[in-house]
This record gives sequence, structure tokens and C-alpha cells, in this order.
Amino acid sequence: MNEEPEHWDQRILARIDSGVDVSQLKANLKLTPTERIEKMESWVAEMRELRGDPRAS
Amino acid sequence: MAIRELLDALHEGGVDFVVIGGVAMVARGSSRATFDLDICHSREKSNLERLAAAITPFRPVLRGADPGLPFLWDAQTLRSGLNFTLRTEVGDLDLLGEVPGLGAYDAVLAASARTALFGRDTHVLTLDGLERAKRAAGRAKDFLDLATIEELKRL
Repeated sequence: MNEEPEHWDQRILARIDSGVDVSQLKANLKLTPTERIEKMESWVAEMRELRGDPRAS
Repeated sequence: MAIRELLDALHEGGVDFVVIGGVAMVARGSSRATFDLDICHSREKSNLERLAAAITPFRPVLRGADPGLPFLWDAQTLRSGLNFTLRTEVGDLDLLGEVPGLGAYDAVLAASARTALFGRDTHVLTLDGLERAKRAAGRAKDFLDLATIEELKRL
């Protein structure tokens, strides 16, 4: 008999696919932590620009 | 958001802090976006003074508060509350005195690892620390972070 996972998130993950893109995580892990943050900031700035958010720049 | 500017100011001000939340998730490899910098800070009186001084140049105000609401940013204000969600001239900054699932600064520090960020040795929550914090917070977005943490631990 399979044991029920200990934590709430593990119990959900045992039932559904999280949809996490592992290939993106692998690509991120090839970057330094600083590069990962810079990549994310660049993406956020682009999204803000598309929205016309004055905080884009 | 200028994460580097905020981190530089905290380091240069000699503030004892740990990077937590979304920026810690990204530093550890997550692909998710975040719109603020979250830190857990030591509640020592001298640290609150250093923290208040370090952030002052960025003209912090309470995020989401009525603009007309009087707000004095200083160490006394920091002492009067545990957590602050701030809007600054360089980006949003959340200051936490405690992190659910971990505890106060010393426990959060113990769940962190020194990580090079923008050329400076910075305490950043580990995947294990993030997992404990996210599990305790228990929000929908924490579930997605926990799923990511599980995958990152496998890689």
C-alpha cells in the first residue's frame, strides 16, 4: 500500500502535473545567481513596457 | 525594480539581512517573476537603525497606503512593527522581522547560504529554507514555488 505524502503540496503533486518547465530550470542553472536575477528583471521591465507602466525603465 | 541598488545600499549600510521570497527563488534557479525584493532583517536595535538609514535615500512609503497618511521612516517606526511593505524610488521592498515556517532572523540566517549577488557575498535563503517557508505560507502561489523547488532539488 502506498503511503500518503507527508506535506500538503506533495499530496497535490501526487495527483496533478504541476506544469513546471524543467528545461527552463536547467537553462537557469547554467547561469550565475546574479545572471538569473538580471534575466528576470529584464523580463519584468519588458512586461511593464508592454503594459505602458511608467516603472518600465 | 533595481534589486542591485537596494542590495548595494543594504550592504554598504552594514545591515544584517537575508534575501527571501521571489528574488531568492530566482537566485536559486526558478523561472518565475517577482516585482519586489523581500528581506528578513535582524531586529537588533542597532540593525534597525542601520536599516532605516540605508533605505532613507530611496524615500520609502507604505505601499498601498493613502498618500495623505503621515508616515515617518526611521528606526522608531521600524521598532514599532514587525513587517513593512514599502514602495521606494527604486522598487518595492518588503521587510520581514520573521518568516512563517522559519522564525526570526537567526533561524532565517541558519536556513540561508552565502551567495554571490552582484559581486557581493549575500545571505540568500536555500531551497530547503524556501521550501519550509513556502509550505508554512500555504498560498496558491506557494504551491507553484514548491513544485519548482521539488524539480530544482532533482536537477
